[in-house]
Amino acid sequence: MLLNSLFALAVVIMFAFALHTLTGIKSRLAPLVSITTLVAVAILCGMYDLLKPGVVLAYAVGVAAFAYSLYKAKDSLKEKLASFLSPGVVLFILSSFAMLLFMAMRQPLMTEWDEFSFWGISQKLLKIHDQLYTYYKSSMIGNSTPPGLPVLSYFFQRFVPEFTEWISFLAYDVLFFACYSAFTAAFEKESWNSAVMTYVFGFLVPYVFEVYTKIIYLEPVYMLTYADIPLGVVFAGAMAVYFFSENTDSRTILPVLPVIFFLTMIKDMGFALSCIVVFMAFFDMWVGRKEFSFLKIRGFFGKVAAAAVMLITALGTFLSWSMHMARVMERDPFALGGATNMGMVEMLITGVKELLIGPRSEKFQVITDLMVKAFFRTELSFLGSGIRIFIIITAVFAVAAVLNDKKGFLRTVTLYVTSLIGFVGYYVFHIFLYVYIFKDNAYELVSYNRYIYPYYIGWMCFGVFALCLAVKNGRRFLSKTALFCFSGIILVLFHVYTDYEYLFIGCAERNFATRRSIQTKADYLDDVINPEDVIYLYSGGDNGQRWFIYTHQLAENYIIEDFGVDTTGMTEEEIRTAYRQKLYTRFTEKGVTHVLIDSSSEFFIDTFGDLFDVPMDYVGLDSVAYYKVNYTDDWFSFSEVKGGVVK
Amino acid sequence: MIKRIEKIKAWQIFTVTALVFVLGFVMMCGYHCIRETSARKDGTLVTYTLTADDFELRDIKKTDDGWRTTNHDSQMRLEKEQKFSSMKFTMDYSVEPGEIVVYYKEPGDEHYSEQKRLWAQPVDGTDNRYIVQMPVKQVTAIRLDPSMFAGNNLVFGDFVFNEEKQIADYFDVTYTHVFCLVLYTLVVSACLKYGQEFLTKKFD
Repeated sequence: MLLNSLFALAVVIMFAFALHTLTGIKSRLAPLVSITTLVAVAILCGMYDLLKPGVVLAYAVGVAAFAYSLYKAKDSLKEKLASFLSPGVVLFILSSFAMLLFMAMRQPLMTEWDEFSFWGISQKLLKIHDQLYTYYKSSMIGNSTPPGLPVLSYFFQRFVPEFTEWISFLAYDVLFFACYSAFTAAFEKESWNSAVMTYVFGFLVPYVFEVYTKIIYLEPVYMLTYADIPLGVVFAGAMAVYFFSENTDSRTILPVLPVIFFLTMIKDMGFALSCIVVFMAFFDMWVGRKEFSFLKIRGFFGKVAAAAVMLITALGTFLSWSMHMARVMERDPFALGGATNMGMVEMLITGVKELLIGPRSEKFQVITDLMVKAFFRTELSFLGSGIRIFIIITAVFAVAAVLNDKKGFLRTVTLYVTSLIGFVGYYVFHIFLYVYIFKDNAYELVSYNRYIYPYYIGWMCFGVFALCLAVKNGRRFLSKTALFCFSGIILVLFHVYTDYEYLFIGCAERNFATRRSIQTKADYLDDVINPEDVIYLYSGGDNGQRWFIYTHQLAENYIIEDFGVDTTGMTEEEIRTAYRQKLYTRFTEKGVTHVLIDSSSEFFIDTFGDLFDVPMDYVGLDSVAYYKVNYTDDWFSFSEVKGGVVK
Repeated sequence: MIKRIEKIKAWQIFTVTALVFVLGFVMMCGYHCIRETSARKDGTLVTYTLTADDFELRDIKKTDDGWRTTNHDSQMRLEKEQKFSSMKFTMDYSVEPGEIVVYYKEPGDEHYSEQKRLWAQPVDGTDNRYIVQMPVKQVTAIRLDPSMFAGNNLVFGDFVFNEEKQIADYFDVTYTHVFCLVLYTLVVSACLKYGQEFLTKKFD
């Protein structure tokens, strides 16, 4: 296991070296371009059901490019190596190896709810089937999300016999470190201390938006498979790859393309963020790259062409995934699903109309009011609510603008204005999502923080990019002081609000207690559960969490959920009959073949006890039971397959 | 003087900073070692053994073959003024207990608090022995919360207090220690270089 992830990491580094040596891209930008390109190869192959060979192809591309670059650079190898091993790259390599060692020893597990409903389980299924999850049925909720992150995880464990959760975490962390390295792109060897402080800022930025008050529970940043932090960090990374490039030709644009591809493949929202990157880059080209030519096209048309190519990449990626789903799963590529089953274009048009012209529906008005209030009131960082973060980001931009040289000043102001417009667009887009797409029932902003903070992560990083530019080209002493102070303050606040025993580095085994207990039970039944079994799980008093964890643990099986029965006005006897009938109907509908009792209850034993061939034992936290369903013409019964105390 | 400062190289800054941190860590561990050893010498820190029956039980019932928790917040209290540095005990359970925590009260504390707690760590090489430890302190009471779940059948062995430690145990290095060493060496070195730049007026 260690070997495969070590090899995958080595391939990323090798390919980064090749990119730097052969194309002249800045060394600090190379790791991000490298990892996104290699994973893109795997994703594209995966969309044609060639995922397994696709990853091998990606490995081959990386190694071959490296070999070729060694050959090409054989006369000046020492210099090339020295220029490659700039502070950002050294930090990337060090962090990645350290994290790999740590993860391999500590072996943490997934702990968050939605990791079992989609984010983690999608990766497990991908590994079990060696195919994208569009190719098979499963009890996963929602498999229309693009596969960027699961394939990234697969890239690091292609040859590992069983899906390993810590390798998934490691894959994400290597991606993050590659982005942080890109953040330091302004600095060469002599400015290593500025590179360090920028890298440390990058490392802490996920915590800035995940920690709101002093943490008293596990804060799983760096051991998490959710997409929100990747969205924010790669959004910043994509902009960094463009922003810090000092070329005035297509070499500025081409490296951004794989990062945009990957960003769009993280989550549907990645497409919106990619478009915003293109928007910001286009205007930056105006003020920052006067002598610009793209593929031999100069001036205005060159810039338009460059922006068009980036936009087409983002759009093409988004559409290719929709087309893939339509082809493989027979789904409408343009339907966003959701409450009113709207297409995306339709939603945008309706939304803009309702926002600007009206009339507004009640739901629209309520949501808009809530969103405005949330910007001012909802805490999504230890720095405070949206308005405070906006003020802080503005302050960073202002300092950067003042301390920059003339060109830097223009670029900073342009970046601020375009990123502000981007924010407004992003925020309004979410109003539309809440109104038209998300669940109809309550007028509330579900998961507001997780949907909005990716933009804040990127935005705050942009401010720091502008500051880095000032350190490089502007009033060095003052900007450097500002950069150090800003990173320093974040570091201090990080310590005020967190405790190492709640972080990935110091977290205790107890956090994985429920996971381990279910793992023990599932392992006990390992020899009697077959992948074709359709299982009804009963866990008395479960709020859904144990069901989620079981679906993840027994990822190959289809596990049906528990159900309720409306028993208003019924007598006890009627209730019993109603539940029994409902169970039978449900079983026959879903084709249930087995019953797994995680823990029984008096109600369960009273209502269904007689269906079991042997009188049911009380099943508690230390025992489990597995039964086969035997169907007769119009009824059913259960016979024991295996049961007992687990340890 | 400025010339000397100018000559200092990056690797020298890193090495010295890292060394300072490592030495600081060693000295702090050594200090704790000396404090405890002298407390043992003058008899204020004593090694002794108790059983589960010596604790005041709350929400945990004694059964024929052990103990059973009756809700998610079972506690075992020991009101005893003593110098406390560690408690090692054996606990078998019927289900993963989740958090095993020991709270302690110092003189003047009226209630137990979240700031004064220790998590039980498994003892290396065993699967049912646990230890809580901290640098020796004067405490007025301790409270063991053995399980987060109700219905847990527990079997306790002896509770050994303040067992003598090997010298090496005082210098135990955790992942967190290594992480902090790396992070702070980097940050402090970066700041020292900034200081160097400031003094030599040469900003890179």
